[in-house]
Amino acid sequence: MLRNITLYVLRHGECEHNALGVVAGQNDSPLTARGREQARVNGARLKELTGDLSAFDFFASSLHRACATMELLRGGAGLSTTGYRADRRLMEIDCGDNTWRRWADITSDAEKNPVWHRARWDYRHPDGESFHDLYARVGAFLATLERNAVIVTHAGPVRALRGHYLGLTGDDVLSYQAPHAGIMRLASGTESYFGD
Amino acid sequence: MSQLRDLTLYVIRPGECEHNIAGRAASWDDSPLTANGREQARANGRLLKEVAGDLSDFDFFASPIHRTCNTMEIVREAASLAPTGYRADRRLMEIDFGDHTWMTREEIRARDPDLPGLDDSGDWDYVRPRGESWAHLHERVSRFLPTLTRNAVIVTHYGPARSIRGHYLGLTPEQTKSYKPPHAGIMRLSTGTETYFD
Repeated sequence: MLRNITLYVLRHGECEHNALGVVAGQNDSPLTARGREQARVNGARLKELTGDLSAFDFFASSLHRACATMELLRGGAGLSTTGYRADRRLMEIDCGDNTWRRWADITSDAEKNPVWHRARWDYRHPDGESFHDLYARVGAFLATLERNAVIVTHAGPVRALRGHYLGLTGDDVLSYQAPHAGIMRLASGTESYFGD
Repeated sequence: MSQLRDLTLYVIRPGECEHNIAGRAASWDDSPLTANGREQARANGRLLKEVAGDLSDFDFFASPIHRTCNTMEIVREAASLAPTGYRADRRLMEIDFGDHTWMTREEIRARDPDLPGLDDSGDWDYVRPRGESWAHLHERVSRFLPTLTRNAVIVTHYGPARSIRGHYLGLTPEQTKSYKPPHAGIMRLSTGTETYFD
């Protein structure tokens, strides 16, 4: 049962596209110096929170920014950098033709689409995914977990992981804003946040 | 927009990874570069500098999957460039193997005995379960290539490397798929012809 395992969930550190204010989706851009520092700090924080990490599996989105964050995080926690699995189902939502656009421009276009108002979950990025698609693949990933896990992923999958774990629906899933710096713990059916 | 054949492209595969050793198809999953893979990337960086000379009028693109960006950063450093001056583009990702991701050939055959050949003999239009076909890959690579405005260095996977070559040289699907670039070395596409350096 998902609620019987403990998950530590993190976003990748700040990237150049975050600083530019564009949505990377399944493109990528390098971690900024600040993003690299966030990842290292989170590694030290994770070690402090958990003590022994030997009973945890480690998973990252296979996009470069998540793996780069994972390696800095593991280094910061005193672990070898590469002892993790990179899973495609943890990738950010595929924004299709909206990739590399500003979020404000994406939403002003989306607002012209009746689906956006009727059912945000079903709004599909042109030639990309809907949140519903993302939610299903993150659910399929969660079903493979056998032990406690540390997961480095993106803003969209963080919302989906939290929604699945806490049994949330609708806007309670979508409205969550995951900060870059800090660690979400999902344990015994509840959430805690450790960070700045 | 420049005609594709007016541009010079250097195409490089990621260095050897742990999944290559294990015989698994990583596709959109990932695994770390081996020590050998990192050395292949460094050697390709030195070779690129030697072959291309001045890289200042080149753009740099990689697939956004970790192993290709990691390779790109090692290549750039070995070519005396800052590691992060490149763009990562989703259209350069490997063929999406869908439910075949992370399987060995034997596991894929056991799962889908009717599979029409695993790579070269297979149907161009065969769609992996919940994944892509070669036709899908070739189409998305064809949408990436017209965005090029200058000569470029591209680090991408086995499938897209062959697709780029096929588009550049105007090859048939069979000719496109039958090419087998190694991990190490650099493919140059220039003035409508190809050269391989290793």
